Amino acid sequence: MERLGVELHHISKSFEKDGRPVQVLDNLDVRNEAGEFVSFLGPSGCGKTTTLKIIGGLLEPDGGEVIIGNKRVTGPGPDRSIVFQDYALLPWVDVLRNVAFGLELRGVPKGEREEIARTYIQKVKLSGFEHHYPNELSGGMQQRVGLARALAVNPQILLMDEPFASVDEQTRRLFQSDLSDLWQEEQKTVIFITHSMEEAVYLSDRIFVMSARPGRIVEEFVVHLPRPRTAQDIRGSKEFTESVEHLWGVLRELQ
Amino acid sequence: MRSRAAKRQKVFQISIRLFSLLVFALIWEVAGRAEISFGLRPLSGTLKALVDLIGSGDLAYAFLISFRTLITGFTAAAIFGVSLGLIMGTFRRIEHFCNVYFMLLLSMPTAALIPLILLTMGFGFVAESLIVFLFAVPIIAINTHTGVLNIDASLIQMSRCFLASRSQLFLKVILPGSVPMMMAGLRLGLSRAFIGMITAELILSPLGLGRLISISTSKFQYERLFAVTLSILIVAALILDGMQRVERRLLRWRH
Repeated sequence: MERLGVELHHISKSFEKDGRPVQVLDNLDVRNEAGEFVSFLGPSGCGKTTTLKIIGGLLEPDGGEVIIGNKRVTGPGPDRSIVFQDYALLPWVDVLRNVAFGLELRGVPKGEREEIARTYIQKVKLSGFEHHYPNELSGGMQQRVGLARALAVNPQILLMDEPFASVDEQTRRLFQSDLSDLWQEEQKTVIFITHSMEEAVYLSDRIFVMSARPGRIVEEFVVHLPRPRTAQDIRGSKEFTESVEHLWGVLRELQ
Repeated sequence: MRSRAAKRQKVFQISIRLFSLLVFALIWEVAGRAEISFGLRPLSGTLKALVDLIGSGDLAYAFLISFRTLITGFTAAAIFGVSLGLIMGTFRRIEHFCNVYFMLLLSMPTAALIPLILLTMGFGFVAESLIVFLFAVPIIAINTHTGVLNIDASLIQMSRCFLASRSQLFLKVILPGSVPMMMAGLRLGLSRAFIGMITAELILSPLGLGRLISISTSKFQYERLFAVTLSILIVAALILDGMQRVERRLLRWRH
């Protein structure tokens, strides 16, 4: 499969709040190589999620453009899927149908889409839960369903919006290492939104640090950790802690 | 998985309910025998009258006539109310256009419309069905409408991200998502339909349950009056309970 990168050219966006425009993004200019794992790191309110929604085609920028594979983004497309912060699962259907939902919308026949869904359910380690409803699952498991659904439509680009924000620390670490493995296996371009420095360092090839109001990139940080990054080795390494410390230094100065 | 404790709890609940009914029956019997008022007849006499009414076929005939009205009016209200609720939830302008009338219909005593209907349509099946319809339709439409409005916005974004067409969005997200409120509306609508049916018949009908009540009253056959009322109560309770069972089945994913 052809791998696609994402280019943001001079993106700006403002919202109206209490009758006054508030600038959320100011002249964002970012390039993401095909197959790369990139994170946007920043405090809440810095426009990370807005950036992701613009790339996903769910929001239109006021100025600038998003280019994917030489084409300008005008809306959602089959080359991208999103993993949502609040999971956004359909509560009235089981795990299998939730994972197959994207394929269902694309008119893939039932037998075929369920077979694909089962493959991805296995990849996110949820085998045996195919016929459970979302409210029978923990937050971490629900997000695994969200990830499987996003992967099942086989996008070139995976957009993840603080996927682990509402998951407890222990579940989060397990999920992070599974995600890291999955990324190596699936070879997707990933854009990952987070406010956790450790998470960004652990997962990413490159990190863009953002400032709040208006959101702009204040630093581009390349992570020089080897892959695969199994949790025990990496988190204790000097390189890891130094990277986190460095990012903390940048974020602290923004306050 | 139903544990033994849960089962015991259920048995306990049912016994309390039966006990409550028993207490009520006892008070009724005692009060009837004490001859507090000429009109208040004991339960035993009422039950005897009920057996007579069933035996003579009068009751069955009255139910048949009344239920023809009830079913016609309620079915029309269900179809119209649900459709309109869905349309109102989808199109803003229609919402504003219709809302006024439903709020009026819901808050004013619907019985006040009966003379108007009498004047314009005369007596008979159509007029009665129309009254049942008017009693039931506002709550059904308003509940369905609220059901659509309450659908999680992130589910709609998710569907857009996975390329749902407008009709897919409606059929696979908005429609199933509004089912819980819709079902509650139908249940409330049915109980209002019963009220409409009896009210209409008390005033309009030469036949049916309402007629049976007014004839019994005018002939001072108070046992018969109580028997008819009791039978209506029991039948209405059974039907509403049946609806609740269907509802619970349909909404299994919530439990």
